[in-house]
Amino acid sequence: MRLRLATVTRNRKGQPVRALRTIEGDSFAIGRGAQCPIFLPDPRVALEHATIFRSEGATRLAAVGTATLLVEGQHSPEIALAPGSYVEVGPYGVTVEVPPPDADLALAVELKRPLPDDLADIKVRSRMSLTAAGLAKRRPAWMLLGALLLLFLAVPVINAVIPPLREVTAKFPWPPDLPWNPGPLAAGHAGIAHDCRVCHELPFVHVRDRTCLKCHGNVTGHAATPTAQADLFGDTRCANCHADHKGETGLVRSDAGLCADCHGDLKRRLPDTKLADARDFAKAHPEFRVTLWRGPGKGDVVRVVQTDKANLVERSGLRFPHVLHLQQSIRGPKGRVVLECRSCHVPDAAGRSFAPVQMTKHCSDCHTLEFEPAVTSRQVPHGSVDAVMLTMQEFYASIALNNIAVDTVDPGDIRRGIPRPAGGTVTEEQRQRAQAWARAKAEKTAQDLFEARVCIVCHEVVKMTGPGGERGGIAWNVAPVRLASSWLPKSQFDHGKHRTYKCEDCHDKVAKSKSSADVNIPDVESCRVCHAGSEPVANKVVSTCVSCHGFHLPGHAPWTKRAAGMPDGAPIALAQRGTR
Amino acid sequence: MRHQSLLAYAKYRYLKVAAAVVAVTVAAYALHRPPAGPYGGTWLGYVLGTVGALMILWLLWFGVRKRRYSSTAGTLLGWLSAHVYLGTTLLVIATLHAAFQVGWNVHTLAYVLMVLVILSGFYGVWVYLKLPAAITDTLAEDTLESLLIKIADLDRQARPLALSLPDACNRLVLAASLGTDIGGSWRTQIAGRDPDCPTIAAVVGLQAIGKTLRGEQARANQQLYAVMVRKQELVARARRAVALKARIDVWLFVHVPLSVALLAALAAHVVSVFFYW
Repeated sequence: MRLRLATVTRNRKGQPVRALRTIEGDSFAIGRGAQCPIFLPDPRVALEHATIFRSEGATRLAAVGTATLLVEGQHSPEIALAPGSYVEVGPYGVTVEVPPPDADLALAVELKRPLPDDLADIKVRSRMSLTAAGLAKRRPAWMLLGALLLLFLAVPVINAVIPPLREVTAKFPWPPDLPWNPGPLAAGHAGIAHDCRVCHELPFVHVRDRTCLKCHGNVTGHAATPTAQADLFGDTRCANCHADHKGETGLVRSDAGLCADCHGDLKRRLPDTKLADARDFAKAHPEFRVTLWRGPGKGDVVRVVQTDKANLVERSGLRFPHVLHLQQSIRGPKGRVVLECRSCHVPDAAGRSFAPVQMTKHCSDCHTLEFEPAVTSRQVPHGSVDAVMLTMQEFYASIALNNIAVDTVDPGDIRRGIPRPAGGTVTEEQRQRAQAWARAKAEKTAQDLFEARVCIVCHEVVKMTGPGGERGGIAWNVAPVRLASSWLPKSQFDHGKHRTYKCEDCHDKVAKSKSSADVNIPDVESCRVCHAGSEPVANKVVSTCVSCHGFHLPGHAPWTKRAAGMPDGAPIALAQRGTR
Repeated sequence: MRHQSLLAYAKYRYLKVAAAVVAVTVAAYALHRPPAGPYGGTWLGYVLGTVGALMILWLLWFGVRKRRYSSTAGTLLGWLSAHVYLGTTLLVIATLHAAFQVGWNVHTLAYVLMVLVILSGFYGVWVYLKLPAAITDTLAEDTLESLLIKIADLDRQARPLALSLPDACNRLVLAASLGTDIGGSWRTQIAGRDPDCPTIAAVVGLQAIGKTLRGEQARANQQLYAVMVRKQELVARARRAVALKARIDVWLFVHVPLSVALLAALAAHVVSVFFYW
């Protein structure tokens, strides 16, 4: 078999250039192997790709092994070659031409799909910069700029300036100006947190005092007089001190300056003030002034500087020597007992202070009010002179009239001189005699009770004699007992927080006190052992003014009481500053 | 001109300026005792806020300045040195302006964006100082372009060598020349590796096939294998160079957009604070 093979290449103009050669053989191998007569040097062609052979008078082309031939786009293992047929072998196109007279078969082979240029190809495939990989700066920058300006500036501003829109958005869980909120509001303002404009009424204008006073209109000034108010606060806005968005309790200042800004040199600001200057607990705090009872009247209260020992005397009306009660043991009705501070001073429900000491709870076990102990264990009631007298008169009258033993012991002399009723009715004369006797007996016992044996033990008793009266002109006046619940009422002292100490650590002279006139309140130096001022000190508790004091506490003028000279109905802040 | 580091520019002039700014800021904050506690709304808060905001605008201006090649207002290196040092002081100025208060709001958003910009800047300084030398080491006398030329050339050498070898070798070589790429997605670029690299597969494959070949084919395969190993080395170097360059560049894709975002958040912060004064 003779084969004329045309190898087609293209010149620069793209025109085909044919190189012809003729080969002879029984069959012709096609492949990229050098031994193949039809040599197709391309890696996409198999080593031996196909074979041309004659079979039953026809020339055929068959693929070898796993190689394939492509005929009209279809894979085909074998085809018959006839002039005009076209087969793809790898990237080569093989066209069957009309053979010349001296050949049996004519083929034209052309590389139809050459390999790409390696350099250009790898450059196309490789993305060697981040920009080529799709990262960008300008686009995301513009997008972020636009999104943030829209979300956090444009939308909140539009919302703020259109009241009807605000009313709608205020109901949203996330109103548009929520991201503007610099911090949580004070607990008292939680109810208006949904609408910023309640406080921030005008754009680009400070929160005005008149806005605060819309709700807080009944707050009076922070100083006792209009002059002091103007001197101390001047142009200070409410929000200068009461800045909100600082947490639930942030609206109320607790720093040292809160008090010291005014009280540090109050004498200079208000020459007629009775208050001493105070700046810092450690460095500049006056001696404590103890509030003491000086008499039975409600106004008989004085404040005495602790260093003024001579005047540090309390007149509570009670006679109580701590020293007698705090002995190692004392005799009681049920044997010997040991009393401690807590036997009488019991913490109150809150644990901050103490429940009042009560006669019935704390004293009466030992201090009984028996008036005829030889005959009866009955006691007179505590608290009222009249009730005491009545109780005794009733007791003695009953005995006289009924002539019966009231208690187990025969009442000896009581019976003498009084006739027995002997089953009959008591005559008027007998009744009057009995009554007169009972009154006289009660009077006599009372004298013993008040002046010698019972009341006088704890109370200051004054015997008063005068004309007439049911008690035959004799009466006793028991001075009312005024026990202080706090000797330093201008401060708050929490006994509960000091529970790790013993009572005597601070009240060191109580156990030896012979008189209830003694005052044993610790002084400022005692407190400074543990309490530093507003600056931290090692192993001490930092204590600012508000650790112990309130800002013009409720109950302390001028916070609740309208100061003298204030016009009614006009809060001082507004009155002083007009309509700002 | 002697090469000068951006950090050591003018004998650390801007380091000194930055240290002074930080010292003054910290001292003022420590001595400041505002009535309601420190926050952005005290006089010192306003001062620090104003200084910080102006500084941010000036730092952003660097993006403009560095493109003004004809500008004579200081050298670009000087600007960069000041940009780095004074930008760092913002961490202190803004933190003390906010008095350490944070929340879920636009104010903290601005702060967080600022911190991210500054931290990305720190990374930028670090890579500018460290990685250019590593690129020089990697490329040696080559450039990325010359590496690609050499790689393409090796591909051209490899294919004829494979023609006489089994089909499997041919497929490996063809895939290596048609499928090998340098770089890719930003992650691939930064990683500097391609786990599916056909060149690496070809090296491994040719070695395995080589053990089954004898005589002429074994020698041809040996030749082909040597070519493919050389190609693999060049590819690895090109990838490493691309990775280093990507690491040098990547922070700017954070730094620049976030800087612009910071500008927006800062504007919203300032307007909102005074809108609801």
